[in-house]
Amino acid sequence: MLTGNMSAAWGARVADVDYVAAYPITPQSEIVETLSKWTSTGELNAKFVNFESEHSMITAAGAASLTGARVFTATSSQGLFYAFEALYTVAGWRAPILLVNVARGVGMPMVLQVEHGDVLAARDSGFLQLHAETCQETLDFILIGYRLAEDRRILLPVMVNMDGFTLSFAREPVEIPDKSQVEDFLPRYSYPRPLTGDEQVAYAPTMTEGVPYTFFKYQMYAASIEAKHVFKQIVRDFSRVFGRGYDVLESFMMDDAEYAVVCSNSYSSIIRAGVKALRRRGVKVGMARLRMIRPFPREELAKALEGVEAVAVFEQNLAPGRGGALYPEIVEALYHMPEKPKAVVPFIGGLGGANIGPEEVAYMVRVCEKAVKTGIVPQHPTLLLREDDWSKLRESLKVSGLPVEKMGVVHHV
Amino acid sequence: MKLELRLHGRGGQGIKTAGRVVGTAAFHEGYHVQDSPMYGPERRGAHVSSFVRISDEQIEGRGYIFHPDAVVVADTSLLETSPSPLQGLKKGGAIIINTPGGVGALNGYRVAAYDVSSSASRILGRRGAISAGVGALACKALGVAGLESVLEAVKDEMHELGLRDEVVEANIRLAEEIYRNAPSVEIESTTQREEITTAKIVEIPYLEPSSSTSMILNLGNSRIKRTGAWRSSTPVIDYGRCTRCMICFIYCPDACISLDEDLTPRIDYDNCKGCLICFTECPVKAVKAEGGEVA
Amino acid sequence: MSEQTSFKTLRDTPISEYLTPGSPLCGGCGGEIIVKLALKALGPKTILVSVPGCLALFELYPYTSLKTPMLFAPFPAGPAAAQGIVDGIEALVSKGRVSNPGVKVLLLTGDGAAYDIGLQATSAAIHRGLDFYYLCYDNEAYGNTGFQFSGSTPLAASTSTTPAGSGLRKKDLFEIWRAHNPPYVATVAASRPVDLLRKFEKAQRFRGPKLFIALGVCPTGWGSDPALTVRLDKLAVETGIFPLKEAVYGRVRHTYIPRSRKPVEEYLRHQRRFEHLFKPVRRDDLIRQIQEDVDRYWENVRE
Repeated sequence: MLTGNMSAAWGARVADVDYVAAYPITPQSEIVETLSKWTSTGELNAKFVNFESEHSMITAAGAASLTGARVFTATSSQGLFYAFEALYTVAGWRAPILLVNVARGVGMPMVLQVEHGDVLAARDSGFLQLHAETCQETLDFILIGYRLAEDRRILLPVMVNMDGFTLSFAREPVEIPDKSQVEDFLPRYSYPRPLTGDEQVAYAPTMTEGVPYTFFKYQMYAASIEAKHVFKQIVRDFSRVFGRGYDVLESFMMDDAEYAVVCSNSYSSIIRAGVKALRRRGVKVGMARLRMIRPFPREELAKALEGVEAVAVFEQNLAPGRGGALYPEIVEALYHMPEKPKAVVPFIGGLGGANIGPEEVAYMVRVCEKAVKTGIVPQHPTLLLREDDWSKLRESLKVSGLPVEKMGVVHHV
Repeated sequence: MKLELRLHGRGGQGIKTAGRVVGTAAFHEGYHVQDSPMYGPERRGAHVSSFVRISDEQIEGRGYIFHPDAVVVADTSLLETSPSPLQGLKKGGAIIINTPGGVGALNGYRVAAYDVSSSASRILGRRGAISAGVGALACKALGVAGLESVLEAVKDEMHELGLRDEVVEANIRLAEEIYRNAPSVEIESTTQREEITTAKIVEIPYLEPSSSTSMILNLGNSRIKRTGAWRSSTPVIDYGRCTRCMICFIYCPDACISLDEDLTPRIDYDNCKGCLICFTECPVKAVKAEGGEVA
Repeated sequence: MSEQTSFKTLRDTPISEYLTPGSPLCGGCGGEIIVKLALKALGPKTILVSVPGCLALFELYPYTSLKTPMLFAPFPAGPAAAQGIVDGIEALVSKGRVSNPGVKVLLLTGDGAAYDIGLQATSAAIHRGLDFYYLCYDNEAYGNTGFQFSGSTPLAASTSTTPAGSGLRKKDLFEIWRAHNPPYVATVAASRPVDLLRKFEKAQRFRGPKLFIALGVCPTGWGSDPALTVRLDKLAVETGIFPLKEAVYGRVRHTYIPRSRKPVEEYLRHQRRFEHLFKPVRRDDLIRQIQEDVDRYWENVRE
């Protein structure tokens, strides 16, 4: 039984990392605390360094990676944002570090619990992104992530996302691979031209012209696209060694589905439960869960949603002026299908760790049914806020002194 | 009228301001105008350019001007640099040039030449920025603005630079003298509209990161840049006087002075920027400075 | 200096160059002289880390003017990038995956990074005892972006964001660094090459942070004649404006004490950034203030 945080720490340990760059932040701290313990007892033979900020931490992680050291680091939310410039930097350096992001809402207002406003904001940084539903996936994605990042065809950093609280602090059975298995799967890392003083190389020269800049940026893009194919090869190898494998997308009960919920990360477990419950009721619904966000598995998603009447997109992030960050990417993936779903409906829920249950899945499917029937698809995301949450919220608002009496409420559907 | 003008000079000459003088003067004449400098990290003495678009109608386009109707060359030495200031100049276009001597036929282009530098050093009393003079020359040569608008523009732009009143006045006198005496030039192409061709687009391959990461493997390759083109004054060593003391070698910022085995200094003229630290610091005055004005 | 040194006179300056001609820096750049000399003292096994600033232009695609390997890092994170390189090598050496190459890591920043945006990262790197060299090329403003005010801009200096002259005094970075008690902190000047070479030589005895502040005469930003760069640097030393000193584990020693200090005016009047102290009306009040600051500093210097 391991928490998500412990699973991440074990991932770094069995990957035999050489260097851990650390800075604490809730709900991630347990990962670096554990690694600091193991490096001090010698259970993990790595150099562990406490940094003064995530900006420095990730810069140092990238620089160390260029020397040929396998590097692990972790952060969350505000910390990821503080390091934003460094994310683009290490990706541009082509430094294959692995970063675990423990997803948490982004202030202001400050919150500690899960949402994906942090990790999705980094979607265009050059990091490849793998999003985990379970503690086991978290650990496995770290091993797969290193193999992917360090592949000589790729050399891009990988971000493994694990949800704060619902995964980071939740325990479940996790199989920890043994050393010989890992050695079989994950070869020793070496960098093509390591920055150890022997190689004649100057990294990241400033560009004064758009054309060479375009060339190097395009190469990062091309490598990231290549990463999907490389991922599939790696996973074949992973399942050979460990007996379990992962595709970029999980299709659950999608074979004859009329309705599908597209989602990612740990709340998918709740959606899976809802899908099963609805199936028992005879509703033909399935779930398509994104494991890979970068590169975005466009073709796989379109294929999984073939023949579906309507799609509900469930997201745990809310961008002012946009809605959910993934919704347009999903719609784009479906745009070129010969027979498109009749409706793709955006939903937002689980922000800052707000709860949803299988009932929300039933609700989403009902909205989809209605959209198909009427041909009217909501233009804005529907917020999955329950009536009892609303009454509790009214109490809080009243206590804080905000004028609750002026706030009416509209029931959907 | 539809005119696209590209100005070329060296960092420190005021080419950005010269472009703004032309732009502001044409604006005062009631034209649609867009002007912009090209920023690079290159420094004092390096080749710099700026752009002015002038039209009776709404301006089309933005950024670099690939096919100018006219170019301004503030420094004749630029004609020998690559890429040439004349690159892409339209057939029948004009070259407006700051030069002390006459200019022969330049590839059959029409030329308006004037010695802005000597007027500037006479009126402003120091080397350096000739922006007002170059701007006035371009306005006169191309007929884009009358004297009143030009002087108004010089005043605006010099004040914008934060220059003291007497310096602004001197620049206005310079602009007026040049405007009154400089030649005009006809341009054939100002009313032509170019037919556009479809761009030829290439597909760049995906390459493995070991050969496509932004990096430089040829360390110390800057020697081939030839920053010697920035130089306006040239240090020359009098080897009869030189005591092989190493001082010029130590203080040359660009490592352009190397030593023979017997410590005889050698100057890399391909790259010497002409800062003249060697001239100032030589304890036996064995370094002479040739050309340009020396402080 | 009674200590052992291979640098006794100018003649001992190493002939090897690690800087190549053709950099895109301004003609007469004082910072280039400093870097050129520092690399002569540190030798070929040096990895350079640079951050945005004038000297980052040494590496301007597709050219580089340095023969040393290099990494360009974010503005605030130069010390962190240096840390990553040092730590990565150390981790690999301890696992026997690379042989101990005895490589030095030199971080090169301007004053913007050193005094302002990178101070937090520097403080932490010194605190962690990072074994590296830090050379701050101090031209007293953000020179690479058009000479804007920085935490290093001296009193009364005109910059593009303090056009009428700064009303603030320069931060004392030497003391800020020294307060962290690193093994070695020093100031160096281009006009004192032997002093500079000796300091970079001496620093190599210590393990941990070795930090240098170099006055970087900046003809473009200061409005001075490029040919006078070394002259002006000498004046900064001889007027006492830029003291040459070192601190070994916090203990300060001045390596040169100008016996009869020249008036600061001699230094100020060669620079357009101080032109308003002399024209249109002479600002004796400000000149006096600058002189008094210098005098007060030297009153407390004992040797």
